[in-house]
Amino acid sequence: MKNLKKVMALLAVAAMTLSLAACGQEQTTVSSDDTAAEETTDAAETTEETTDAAEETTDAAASGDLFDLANYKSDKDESEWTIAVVTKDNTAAWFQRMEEGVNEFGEATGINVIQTGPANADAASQVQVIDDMIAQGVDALCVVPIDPGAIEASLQNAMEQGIVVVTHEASNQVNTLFDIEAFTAEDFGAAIMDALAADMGEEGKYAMMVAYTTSTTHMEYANAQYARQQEAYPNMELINDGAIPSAESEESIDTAYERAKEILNANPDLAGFTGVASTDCPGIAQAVEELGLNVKVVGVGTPNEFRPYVESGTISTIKLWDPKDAGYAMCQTAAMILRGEEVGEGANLVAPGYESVTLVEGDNRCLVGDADITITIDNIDDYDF
Amino acid sequence: MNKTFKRMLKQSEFYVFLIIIVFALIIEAKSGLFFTNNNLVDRLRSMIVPSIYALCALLAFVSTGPDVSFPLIGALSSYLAIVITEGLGLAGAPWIVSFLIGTFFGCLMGALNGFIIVKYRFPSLIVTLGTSSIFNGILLGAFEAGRMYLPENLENFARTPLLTVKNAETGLGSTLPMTFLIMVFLYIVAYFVLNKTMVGRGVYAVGGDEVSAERAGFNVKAIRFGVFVVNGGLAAIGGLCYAVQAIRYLPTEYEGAEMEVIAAVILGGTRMTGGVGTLKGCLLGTLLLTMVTNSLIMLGIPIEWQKVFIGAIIIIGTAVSAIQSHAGAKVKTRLKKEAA
Repeated sequence: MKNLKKVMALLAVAAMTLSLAACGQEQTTVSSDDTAAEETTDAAETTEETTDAAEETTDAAASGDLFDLANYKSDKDESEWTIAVVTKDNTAAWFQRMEEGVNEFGEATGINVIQTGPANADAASQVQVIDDMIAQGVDALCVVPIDPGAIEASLQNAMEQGIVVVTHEASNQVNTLFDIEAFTAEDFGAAIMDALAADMGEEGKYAMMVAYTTSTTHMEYANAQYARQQEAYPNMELINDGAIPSAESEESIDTAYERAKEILNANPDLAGFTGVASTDCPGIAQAVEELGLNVKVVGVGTPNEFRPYVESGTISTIKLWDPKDAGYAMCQTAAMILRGEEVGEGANLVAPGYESVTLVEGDNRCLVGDADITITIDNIDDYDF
Repeated sequence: MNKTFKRMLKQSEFYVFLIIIVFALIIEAKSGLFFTNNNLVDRLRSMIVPSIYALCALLAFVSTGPDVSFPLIGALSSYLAIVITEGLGLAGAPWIVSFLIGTFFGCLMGALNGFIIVKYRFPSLIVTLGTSSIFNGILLGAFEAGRMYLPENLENFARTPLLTVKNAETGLGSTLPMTFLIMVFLYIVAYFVLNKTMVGRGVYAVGGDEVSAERAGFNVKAIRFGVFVVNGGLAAIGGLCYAVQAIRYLPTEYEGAEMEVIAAVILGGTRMTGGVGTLKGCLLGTLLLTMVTNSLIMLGIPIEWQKVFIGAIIIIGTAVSAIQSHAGAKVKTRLKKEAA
């Protein structure tokens, strides 16, 4: 009994000391770093890494700026770097395509890359994965957040330990050195309109669908489409006197079908239809095919899901960005920061569409590419995701 | 003649029917598109799944209380039916085989509801809310269900139209899927069971007054348990019909259907307190609600206001039938007083 108490007390003391040491490292008390180094002399390599990290942390904290890129330059050899890509759900075809780009980057540069994701696509599981990666001592984290807010603390922790953090599809993420975006909503909306205009011969009535009028990106795409049409295609006309959007699909293919049918019934002379949620175009296409109309459908979605309708000719163009290129660009950004190279306006992230990115400062520093891709029946076989 | 008319005036179904007529005329006047053959077929099509679900809601309300688990029972059992059909290489079998597999699982899930509700006498709303959440978790968490194409037998079933019409004027076509026959079949069976059999009368009796029903010799527990098992089966059929009509399995789209269906059933005169509700009312309520949700664009109502409009129709519809039934009750009590 007494022994047990002793053991417990010892354990408690050990736990407290360890947690103190851990805190100390984060808060960069030099003395605790020294003792840590002394204690682990046998594992020479890990010690070096720890002190490296500690030094970097000291730098970052000393200058008081987690966002100063100079603090993240790595002294290690490139072949010793590890860049971890954390996705929303690694089993999804979208992220498998991203992995192709990530691996391509690894082969091209000889840098170790790992792509991983949570078992369930929920924010809490993603936090766990990120924390695991930090514990493994990776040099850079590239994250596609499920919920940016939920991972802020983990990303901040990573940066405090000198780990480079880059995100994708998270323009409101605060704790990131750079967020990579394939395009601005304005450019993408305009690109959708250009594709639709080309398909419908720049004249006629068209309608547009979004998931919800409350989904910010969708409405930005929709407004940009309309603005582009007003500016460049005077012979085209948005139904209902230009009310944006024409319908909501409520993230449901069946609702998209019902709404599309209603719109087509009310406007039998409709010539074009756009849908920006992945649920929109399959529903619209189903309605168009059933009604036996010749309406051009242009929208956002993945090639595999839209393939039957693209092959039957109902969906004339898919607008998208390629996750493969986004994955490459994220890793490239991380590597450039680790090398201590300049990253910012005009930086070349190598992947197609990201050769000269634009820097947009908002909640974070956003690197915006010009990477929208156009998929039609002619090239759909090149994309398998 | 006069008597039947008076009786009709007392039924809330009659008022729902009136609202439907008025609404149809408004749409016709505004767009000229309501009484076209393709639009009528479209409306029948959009009624199919909600009216199958409405049977679940009706049976539950009449006998026990609200059941909100049917969309997710439909989702999970359709998923199992599709996966098993493909897994066992049954894609060449007739479509009904897949439906039977789904119905089997649906009944099992319904039995779980029924067991908890009957054995522990828990409120059906809470139990079915809980099981819904469990089924959803199993579907999206454990099975990680994603959008899928249907197995060959269901796909062929989906692509065989029951009826195809073409509007000569506008050139617009519309097709009624075979699932319409399933719905009609279910309603005919339900009609006979509810009105012509002892068990069917038992369903109403149990919900009307449990104690009297028991004294009259009905096995209350067995009837309630049976209702939830049947509900599970119906939900599975509804879920598969949804997949067939979309020609895809869409796991995330089932959730949330229950509220509109329950609103439709209440609109059709079913009492939430039990014992009262008709199949006619179910169909009319569902028709009204699907008409409203699918005609707002034709009416030119801005998107921002569509939800407000749907809500208003539900309240107005329910209020009209409620007011007239209150009025009926008042007349009755007055008559009773006068007689005394």
